[in-house]
Amino acid sequence: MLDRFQQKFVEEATDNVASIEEALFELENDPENKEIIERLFRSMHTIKGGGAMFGFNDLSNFTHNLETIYDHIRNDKIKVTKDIISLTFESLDYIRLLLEKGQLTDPDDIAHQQDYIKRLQAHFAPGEGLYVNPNKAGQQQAAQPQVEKEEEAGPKNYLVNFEPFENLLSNGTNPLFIIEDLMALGEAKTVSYLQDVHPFMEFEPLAMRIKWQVVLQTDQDVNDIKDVFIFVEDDCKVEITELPKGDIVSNTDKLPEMMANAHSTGVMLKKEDFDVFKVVKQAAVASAKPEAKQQQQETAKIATQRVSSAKIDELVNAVGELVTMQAQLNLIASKSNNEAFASITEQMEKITRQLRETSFEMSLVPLQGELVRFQRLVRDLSNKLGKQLEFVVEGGDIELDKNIIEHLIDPLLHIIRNSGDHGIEMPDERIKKGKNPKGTILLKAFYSGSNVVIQIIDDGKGMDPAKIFAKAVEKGVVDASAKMTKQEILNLIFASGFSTAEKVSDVSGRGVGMDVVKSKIQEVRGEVSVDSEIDQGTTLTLDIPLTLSIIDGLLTKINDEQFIFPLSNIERILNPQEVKFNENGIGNIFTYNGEQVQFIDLNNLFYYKPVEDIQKSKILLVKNGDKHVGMVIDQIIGEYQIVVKPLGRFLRKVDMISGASVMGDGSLSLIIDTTRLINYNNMLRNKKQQNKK
Amino acid sequence: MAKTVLIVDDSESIREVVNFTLQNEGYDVLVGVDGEDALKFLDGRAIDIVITDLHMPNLDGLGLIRKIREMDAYKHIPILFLTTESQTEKKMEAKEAGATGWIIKPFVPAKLLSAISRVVR
Repeated sequence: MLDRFQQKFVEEATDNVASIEEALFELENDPENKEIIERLFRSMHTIKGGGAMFGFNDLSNFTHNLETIYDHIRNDKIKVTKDIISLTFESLDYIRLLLEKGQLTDPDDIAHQQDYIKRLQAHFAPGEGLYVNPNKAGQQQAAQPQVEKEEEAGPKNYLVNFEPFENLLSNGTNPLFIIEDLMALGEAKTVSYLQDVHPFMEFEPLAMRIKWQVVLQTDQDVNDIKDVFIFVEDDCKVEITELPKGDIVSNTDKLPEMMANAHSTGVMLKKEDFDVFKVVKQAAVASAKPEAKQQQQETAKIATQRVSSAKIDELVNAVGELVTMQAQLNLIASKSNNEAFASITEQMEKITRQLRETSFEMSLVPLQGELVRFQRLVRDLSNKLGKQLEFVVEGGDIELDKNIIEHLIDPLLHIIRNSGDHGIEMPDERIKKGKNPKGTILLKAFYSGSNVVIQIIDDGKGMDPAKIFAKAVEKGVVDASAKMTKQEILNLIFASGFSTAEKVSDVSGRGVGMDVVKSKIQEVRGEVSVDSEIDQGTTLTLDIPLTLSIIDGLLTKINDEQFIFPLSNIERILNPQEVKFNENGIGNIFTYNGEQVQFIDLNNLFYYKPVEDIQKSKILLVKNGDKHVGMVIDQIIGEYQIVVKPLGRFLRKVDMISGASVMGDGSLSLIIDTTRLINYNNMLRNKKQQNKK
Repeated sequence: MAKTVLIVDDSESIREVVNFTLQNEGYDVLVGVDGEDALKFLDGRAIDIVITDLHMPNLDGLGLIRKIREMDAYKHIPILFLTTESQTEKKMEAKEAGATGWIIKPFVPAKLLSAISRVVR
């Protein structure tokens, strides 16, 4: 790029040589004339400066020596002599030659120039240093620190104090640029000190009263740091202190605090303040194991974060809305025939699902947190009742939706209270029965599919079906002539108006019975059941879904209406051709995989009209205990993320429908609770069989 | 917006190379051939930085810097001077006159630009 300017320079320099020549003649006649000397000097200066710029280094070097003579003359260090003037004339011819030749390559020429320069230097004022080419000198200087750098590899840390004088701003300096330049040298953190800044009313905008300190980690040489201040070294106080090596700047633990503290107190950081980093490093080397352990703890600390449950609820709700919107989007995309749109929608659905799962996991809390309340209750009970009670927990680390756990606390407290109050016997009674005088209440929790099962098991006296039946008759819950199995009788404890407590105790209290427990559990789509053996104990089992809000569902059609089956309940989807129907058609049984499977014709169950051609239907294989049940439906539409909405209080009793969901196209689907549907179907069948009898 | 640079040098070749380099970098460039000539640009228009040689006829660099510092509109703009002097004496003199910094000749375009970027952003 500079080539195009070289010609220009040569022209200009030739002009300058001519004007020097003219001036020399004038000077011969008027050797004391300062103006002429100044003019000469300036022209030489221009040749020197331009020469170095445009690649005429030898010219520049030579002219510098000539210029120096005139610099000494204008500073009255030496007098103009005839010798000097004739040497200058001679030099001008040589300059012309150099302008023509450019850089010297011939060794003779170079030697000749050396002699020439010596002749010039002979006229220098005594004691003035010899000129050294600034470029070469610079290279030599630069070479030295590089050697040092190699001795100690890796970036160094510096503490740079920058304390501008008040007048810094008056010459057009922006101190922030200096800070920026410093920070650009490597990794850096800066602290400012505003303590000397005058309050607003006395504020002087032009007076610089801010100080800075920069902690800098850099591979650059300390001279590069000094270089940043080159324009302002006389307008400020700069101190550069080397700090111990290591990760100071990236430290997020101590450094920000140190800097914030320094900023607010105005006490500037000192080298010693950084010794803490040194110590930490050494400690890390000396005892690596405890350090690692601590680090693990720290990561664990960072790994969890308190978030208000209201926010999580908000998130879960928003995700719920998102899932609904996603369903709409999917529908539009599938109708659009736009491949790109469909592909984006598909990817979005993936993300939505991920978001749903993550937010779902976030809303889960471990049961553990609530256990201490039960522990406390059991302790209080043993003191109050004079019984020896032990509370044992298995599987306290299972996690449940926070809202579900909240719903479970009261029922569980009630069940545990009943176990302690009515289940576990007094110690002497237990000894008489040959039992451990100490009674145990076990809370056992475990996952079962997408549900959590919580059992309260006591080893107390158990429930006597005869007593329960008698009481139920007394309370008018059942008719005295009713014939019931043991399980049915035990289930009477959940009937409203029934309370097993023979006397109202201040422990179990009044009013709240097992019917309330049951309805509470049902509010979270859970099931509660009881099992009991006399003198062996009672087990209450709560079967609770992990979450309420969103499920994966299989959308189906039955009699042209949409129904959703929770995907987690479905083990397999069968074609009728895969199974062998019972030939006489009795009992709705088919054989699949060697197993006799009862099936339910949902068309018949819901609409009282049997499926027209079972061979054209689909069968959902659902697990029911250790057996399977087949659900015969008309058509499978697909798999969807379903936001479960409750049916509302007027339909609460319709328990084989657990909720409803708004589909992407705005239509409504009912969500089937397969367990209850099976129970309902069995009940109908039993009734029919009873009627036949 | 493009920054405006006023360059002042009695050497045509220096003016040309500085002008060329700065225009290439997107600066708006005003050119004065000496201090006296440069004053005509200092009429209140927006000038972001002045780069001036020190040794010039009519009004030299020091004189120009002092004059600029007396003008309300340009009291605080950055001023760089071009110098071949490595002696601190000359620099001190110019700094006392009000210069912000300097560029040592000879310089390559990168050096010129980096010096400017120290004081104008």
